Amino acid sequence: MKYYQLYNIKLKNEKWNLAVGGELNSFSDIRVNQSLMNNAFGMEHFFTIFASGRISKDISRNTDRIYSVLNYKFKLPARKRTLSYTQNISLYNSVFRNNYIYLNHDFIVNENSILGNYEHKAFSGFRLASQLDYTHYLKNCNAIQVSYKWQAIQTAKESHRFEFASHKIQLSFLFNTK
Amino acid sequence: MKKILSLIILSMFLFSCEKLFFDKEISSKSPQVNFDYLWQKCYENYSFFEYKNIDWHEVKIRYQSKIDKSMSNEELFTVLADMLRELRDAHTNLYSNLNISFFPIQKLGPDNFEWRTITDNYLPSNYQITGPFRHDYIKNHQIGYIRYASFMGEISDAQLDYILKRYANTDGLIIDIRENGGGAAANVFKLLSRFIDDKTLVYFSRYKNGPEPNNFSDFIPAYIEPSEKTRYLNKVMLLTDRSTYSAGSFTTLAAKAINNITIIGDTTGGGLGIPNGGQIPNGWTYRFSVSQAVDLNQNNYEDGVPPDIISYFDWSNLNIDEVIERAIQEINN
Repeated sequence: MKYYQLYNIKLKNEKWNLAVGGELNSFSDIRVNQSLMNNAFGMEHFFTIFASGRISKDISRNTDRIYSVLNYKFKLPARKRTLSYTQNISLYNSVFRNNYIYLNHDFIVNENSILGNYEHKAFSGFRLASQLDYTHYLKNCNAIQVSYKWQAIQTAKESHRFEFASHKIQLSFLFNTK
Repeated sequence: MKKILSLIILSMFLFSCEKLFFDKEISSKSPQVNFDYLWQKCYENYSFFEYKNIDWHEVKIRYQSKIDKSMSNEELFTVLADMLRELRDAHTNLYSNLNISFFPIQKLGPDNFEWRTITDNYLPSNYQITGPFRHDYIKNHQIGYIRYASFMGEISDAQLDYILKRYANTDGLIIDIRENGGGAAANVFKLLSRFIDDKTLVYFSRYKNGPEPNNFSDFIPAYIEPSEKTRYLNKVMLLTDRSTYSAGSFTTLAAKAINNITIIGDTTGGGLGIPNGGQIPNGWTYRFSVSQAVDLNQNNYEDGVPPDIISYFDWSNLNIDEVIERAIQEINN
């Protein structure tokens, strides 16, 4: 889950758009690895306040264009398009994760808890995220967006440090854009 | 179009930069790297170095000399397995596609159990099997005998209700957990909750919380609440031996705090540390104990929970189980 607020900064070149602000981001992962026996199940939760910046460029095709490939001609109609890049850098990161020995000890003292002995650490670790979006607008004000999203998370330096990176390609359908 | 394509491709490289600040990848086939990794993980996480008086640095020196960069996987496995065997802990294993290492805890004491002796001389031929329990009356319906061979799986309230109602009017129960290597700890509390009248503190446990051998959490109490289902409050004899391990030892440790349970047989095998797993750089996995449990007087019985009454099986006469006979005698006292 995330909530972000970005504020436009006016640039001389109207084709470019710059916005800066912040993002609140809540992220969890679940790990299942039977070969690790009592460690087989685990999860982490991260809450992050990001400093966020996004730069966009209007790459619209303002006139119809005709291309020729292997003697086959096809026409690409004028179309509004944008390309944007967002960079998030963590200002504050908190972690909720397993304890030092990756073990829910509660079961051995007759207490039932799924995440027993998990620990919360504020101001712990580092997180980076970025996103590249290509948005293709349709005539009806809807749009199709293709995104490449990357994030990397690293907990504080300790013997059981957790590092995580994800790469996602996302296809979005945007409705009623301006 | 070319500019856009170039930008996208360039961005793909910029995005995948986690390797710039992530720790160095530790995947390796090097015998030295794997040896160092496993030794270090043991040093930081194993919970019984001080109790067992093991000098892990000295162990490193001895086994380090056996590591050679040209050694085969089989040879490496042998060295690592032998090193782990120094922990004298059956909760310690090294797992590979070639082999699984183990510590034979049962060899610390004599074999103290023969099932055939019990079926031939004590139980009727049509004894009952209820879930994991094999049971029936012995001694003219005066005593109920329950064989519980493994804590694997989950025992149900219905199973316990049936058994305890069946033997409700007996003088005593014999619960035989000899050669029970353990399993689900939840069964320990489920079973023992049937033999208590009040909420009972049964032991304490603590776990490693730092890399030094004496870095532990505080001791955490383990309580058992009396079951609201069928209970049995007459005499209960718990039979143990060296192969009673892990959840079997936890049961024995907890039973020490329960007044109407008497432990008869041999010292258990121990296994009062919860084993936890990990992976070494070549992909093999391991586990070893990362916690400690002690009794109400803070006695650590990792080397085995002693019985209240010592009794050994006499292998010269397979028609009598001396341990069961001693339990019968105790019930009749």
